[in-house]
Amino acid sequence: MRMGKEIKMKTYDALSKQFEYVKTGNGFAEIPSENILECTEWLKNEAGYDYLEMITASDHNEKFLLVYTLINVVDKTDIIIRTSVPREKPEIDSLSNIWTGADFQEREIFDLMGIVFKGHKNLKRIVLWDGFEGHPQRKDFKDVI
Amino acid sequence: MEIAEQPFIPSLNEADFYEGSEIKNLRHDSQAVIPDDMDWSDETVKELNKNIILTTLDDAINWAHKASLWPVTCFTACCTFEFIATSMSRFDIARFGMEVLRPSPRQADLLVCGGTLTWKMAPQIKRIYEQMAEPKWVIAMGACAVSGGIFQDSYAVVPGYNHIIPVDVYIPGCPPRPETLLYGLETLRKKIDHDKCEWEKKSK
Amino acid sequence: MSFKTEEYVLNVGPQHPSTHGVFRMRITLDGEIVKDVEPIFGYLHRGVEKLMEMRTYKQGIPMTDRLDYVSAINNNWPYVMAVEELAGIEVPEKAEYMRVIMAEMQRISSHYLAVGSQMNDMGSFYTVFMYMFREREKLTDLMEMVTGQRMMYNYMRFGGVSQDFPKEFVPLLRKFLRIFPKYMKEYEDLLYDNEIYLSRTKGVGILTREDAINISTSGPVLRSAGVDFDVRRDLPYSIYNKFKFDVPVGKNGDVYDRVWIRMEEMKQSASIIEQALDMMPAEGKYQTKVPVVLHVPEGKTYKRIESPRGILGCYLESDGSDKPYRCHFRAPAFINLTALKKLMVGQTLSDAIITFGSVDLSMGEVDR
Repeated sequence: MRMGKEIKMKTYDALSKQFEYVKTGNGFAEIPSENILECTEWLKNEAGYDYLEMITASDHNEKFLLVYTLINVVDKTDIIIRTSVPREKPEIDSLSNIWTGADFQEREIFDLMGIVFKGHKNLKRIVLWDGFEGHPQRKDFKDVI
Repeated sequence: MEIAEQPFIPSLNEADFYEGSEIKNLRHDSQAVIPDDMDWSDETVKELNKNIILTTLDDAINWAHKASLWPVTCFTACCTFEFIATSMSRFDIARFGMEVLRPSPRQADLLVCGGTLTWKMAPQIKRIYEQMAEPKWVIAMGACAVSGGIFQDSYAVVPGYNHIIPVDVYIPGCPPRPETLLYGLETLRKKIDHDKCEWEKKSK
Repeated sequence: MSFKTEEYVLNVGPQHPSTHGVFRMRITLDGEIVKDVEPIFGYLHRGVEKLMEMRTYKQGIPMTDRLDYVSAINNNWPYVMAVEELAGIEVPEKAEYMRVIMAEMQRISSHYLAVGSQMNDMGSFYTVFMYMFREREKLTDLMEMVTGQRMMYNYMRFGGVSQDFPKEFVPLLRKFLRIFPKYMKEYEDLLYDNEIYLSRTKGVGILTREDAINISTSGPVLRSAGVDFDVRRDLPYSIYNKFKFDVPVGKNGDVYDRVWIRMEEMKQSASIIEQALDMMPAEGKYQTKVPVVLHVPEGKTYKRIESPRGILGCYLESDGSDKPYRCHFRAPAFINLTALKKLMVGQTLSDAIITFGSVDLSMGEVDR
């Protein structure tokens, strides 16, 4: 829908004007991992993107790539944000204090990929049993019986 | 006078870790398959029983068992819905005496295992099997229950229910059609026909 | 006279007499009032996302069927759309109509199951469930005529669908749609004036609008709170912008609204199927030709559809080879589960079980 695309482009422009570290282009916005809380709070309170749809992570040898998608329920558009954390120190701020919907998704990413979310109130394993060793979704996972 | 020991009540977090170590030990111990009991179909093993009272008693007791098997509802995944469709009005299992699905294992004698078994769920299935009273039978329904199915090489899936409990009848399919499930139940009833009055060989 | 009371932790274990699947809750009770609930799942975690990285793209389609096993065709769709976008495959128009018809039929049968198991939880002991299975068997027969399978259809392919409609299919589908309103009237007469049903569902399990957006719920749970958002109409995919249909929105956010929304959605799905049957071209290809071993160029994409439970999305990353690099599914039932704590606390235990049934879980999707 053309109107939705225009609103999306305007949001990306406003975002890069507000914070200078944002890089936009190719349909997503790329930000460094320390500023994720600031950026998403601005998007929620000022730009109207108050519905957090999905958080996911993937393993790219030296770094982990994290993807967030947000939806504006009134204007009917969506926006994608990407960030990355280094493999030796996989830590990032948690969004579960602002959005309750991020709670289980972050626990699942901690369980399967091993990324630690700082500030999460109850970060423990969710789909695998307590006492399982390793993080299965990583590319170098070896199963020990 | 002896003071009775306080029962050990762990906190919720400790209980989770106990469950985790139970799963780990079960996984370590269950790498081999429990062998199937094939004596019932082997002609040389059956001995001729010349006593007419005992054979008539055998027939009567086996008829009572096979005509009113009560299954316990323990369904994990997709094969559930084919079992439920079999128990609805189109393919009726009430005509075999099985319409009473008991939620409690102590009141049932048939465990229909439908769905993939994961290592996290395995101790609970073993506990349900041990809570059932003798005589009891187990049907493994679906490809995931027979051998792990499409998820066989996953890190969290038990490759078949016969690593944990002994199985009587295997039904293949993904999911098996209701007609296949009824044929499997008919095979179980034929197997029950060959049971004898001694119950000791059934318990493990 | 005052009583000394204590709180009691009750474990509603992974094996229980309802048809929702292996789900476990630890409920802290004070008398009959629920004080806290902690959901525990993972008893059906099969590692589907890791297994899909070890299979080729085409071998991944049957694995997606087994995620939300109650409505199986809807799970193929976002995965197939994501691969088509990355590989640049076009879908012919007749195939789009066929996909829409099968998906809407699956939506009707999934809602039948949801409302039927909700009535089970309320104590009607399989009466309404058995009547709803009568229709579900008719729909399953129609789908078996097209795909050859009763439950895990494996019907969509890259660039279309796998088989054409046989010539008996369309007249039988039209006959089903002619008697469908009579069945719906039967259920409405049975339920909507029933005093026990009204007193058990009105005012129970209320979710406010701010909470529904904050918890990222979707589907009937979000629409019952008053938020007018449906992916088919607002962020349209495939050919949904050609059909005219209403989106039912609730007012109070209680259990009555959710069941009412599901019944209304079934009627809207039937009208979409009729419009699609009238507009479908009679001639045309049903699948574009695609190489047997498909190599997808590098890229990352995310596609979403509206499944009967909410927003189902597929995030796909590829690195140029014939196997996916990373494939993640945004499961609606997994995220709707977060709302349990808000919904169940403060009610009696029997109302809490009904609220849990109205969220409509499917454990294959929650655990993946």
